[in-house]
Amino acid sequence: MKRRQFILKSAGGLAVVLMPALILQSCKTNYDSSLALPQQLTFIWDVETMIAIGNQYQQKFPAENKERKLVKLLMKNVPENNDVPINMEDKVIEDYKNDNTVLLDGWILSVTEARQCALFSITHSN
Amino acid sequence: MHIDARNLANNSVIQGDICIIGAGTAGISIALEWINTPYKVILLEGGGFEYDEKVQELYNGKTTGQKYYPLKSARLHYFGGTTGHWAGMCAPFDEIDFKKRDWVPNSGWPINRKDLDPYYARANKTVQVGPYNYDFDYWQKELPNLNPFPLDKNVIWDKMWQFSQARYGQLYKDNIVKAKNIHLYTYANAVDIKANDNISEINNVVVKNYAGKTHTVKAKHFIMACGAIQNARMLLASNSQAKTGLGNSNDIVGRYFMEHLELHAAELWMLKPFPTDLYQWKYGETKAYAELAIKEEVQAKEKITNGTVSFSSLASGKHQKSRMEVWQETDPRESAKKLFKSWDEAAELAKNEKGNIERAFLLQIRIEQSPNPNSRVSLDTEKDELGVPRAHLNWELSALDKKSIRKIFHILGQQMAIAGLGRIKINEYLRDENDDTFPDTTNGGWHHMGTTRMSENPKTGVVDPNCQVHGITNLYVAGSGCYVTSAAPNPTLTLVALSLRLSDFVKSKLS
Repeated sequence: MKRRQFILKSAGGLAVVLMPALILQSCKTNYDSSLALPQQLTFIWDVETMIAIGNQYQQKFPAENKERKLVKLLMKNVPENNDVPINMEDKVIEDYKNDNTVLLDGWILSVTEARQCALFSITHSN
Repeated sequence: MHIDARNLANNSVIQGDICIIGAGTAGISIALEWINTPYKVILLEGGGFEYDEKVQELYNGKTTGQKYYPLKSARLHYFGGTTGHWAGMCAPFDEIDFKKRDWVPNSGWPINRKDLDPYYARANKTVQVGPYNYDFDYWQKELPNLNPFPLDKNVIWDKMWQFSQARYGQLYKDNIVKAKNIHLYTYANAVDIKANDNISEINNVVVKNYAGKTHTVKAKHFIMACGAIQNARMLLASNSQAKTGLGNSNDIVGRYFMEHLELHAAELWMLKPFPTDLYQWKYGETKAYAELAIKEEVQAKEKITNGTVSFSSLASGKHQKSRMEVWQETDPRESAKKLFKSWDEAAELAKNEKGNIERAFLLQIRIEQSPNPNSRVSLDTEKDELGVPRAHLNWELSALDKKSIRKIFHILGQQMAIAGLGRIKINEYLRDENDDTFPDTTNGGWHHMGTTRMSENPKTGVVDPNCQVHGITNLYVAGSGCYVTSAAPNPTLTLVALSLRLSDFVKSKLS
């Protein structure tokens, strides 16, 4: 299993967040941890914002507020062994091109990255 | 030549070939065109050369509906008019602004952009900006570091502005005062416009001042150039012969008052710094800059009005109060001081903002107000010191205005993300699609338009395509009151162009 580290820059300085293997074990679903990491949003948001947005998405779409469900939706049409981060970025751009967006706390977000936030918020609540 | 009407013998009769009522942007622009012609031009200005509180008080009035600036401080009442404190932003209207758009009620000018192009070129000189070229490609070659955002050019384009520093009061005072055939009368407030018996021709204009003098001005042609609010007020108040006022047999004078809605609408958080000088400007330094505009085809597809988006630092912008909150003193000088102070305070607080916010921007929109007949200038019951009923402005916005703003930022949000530039967060008042109301912090641009709109049909307009008042052969209106729609850019360049066109028309009639 891969461990991924990412760095979020926040107003208070650097915040280093590890994606623990715990997450992957807890739901017994095997998926790349970067699935729960909307890459571009890490450049502008801190961890708290990402979790808050993820929670808002779950409230707005209660049918998607389970880890397994979100993973399934995010991995839809993604070939096996494909580079997940790049694939997610492609999906995000396709979402914006197809107007597949959602408004959360005023943020105009791609559905894919909103789901990634939701997955992030679930995995960080465990 | 200059005469102070306070010093004239009471009940003087002043005569000329043309009489221009108002020496602001429109009036002075027209008067300049008549210098060294064989005609005697009477140029009337209600104030003097400097701010005069008693004269400014004549502009006091009432506002209802959407919160607006005090009428007394929304424009300047002296020689040079509101160029006395304008920001100098100049850009021509787009082609779409003149077209009939089936999704914008009451849109469609009887003239088009091509009709105005030669006058835009002349207007550029009058307001003293650069060449009549507003193409981005031209300015990118002329100025350094004008890097555009790599957005889809089929959706969003860079609309260019140039900047004038023309304060007409200082810039053109000598030209006017020294011109032998231009007779400038200061402290000559028009209080009544008198027509012949069948109201087909104007005979004279009555002027007064607070020194107690009353005079009569006679001319072959009369051009009203007092600004959209005052022009409408004067037409309505000149009702001793026509009960509903001059040019108002179809109840259109004063209606369709339009402003530019200028609002803080969203934030743009950039993923990484983007080096460019294209989208920011500094008074007195910047020659040209751009705002993001929506392509005509996209406006038609989405059924939205025309607006442009500009950028300022979010670090200071988030601390700024809206202009509508700050500009509430009736003395325009006090309001201006408060505005500048609020900017300084915001800049000071911005120094504490660090981190990602340093590459975040406040997005402001300037968008046309869709023509609304209930947004109007009418007469109040209270009269001013000279006996003229005060103006009553009821500013009313519509659902299309809000929908358009919301849609424009949705489009921008998509395009910024597709280009990998950043993410947009829209302000709270825009988030509920079922809410058509605007907050009290909604700014106007101090741009007054539409109250004597242009139409070929007297049932739908006050002036014809030449800006002549329907049914009155020698009365014309100059300025932005003639606009049918308000477009995205600041109105000054276009009102000067339209005024120069009107000037040529009156010259052709005289000759």
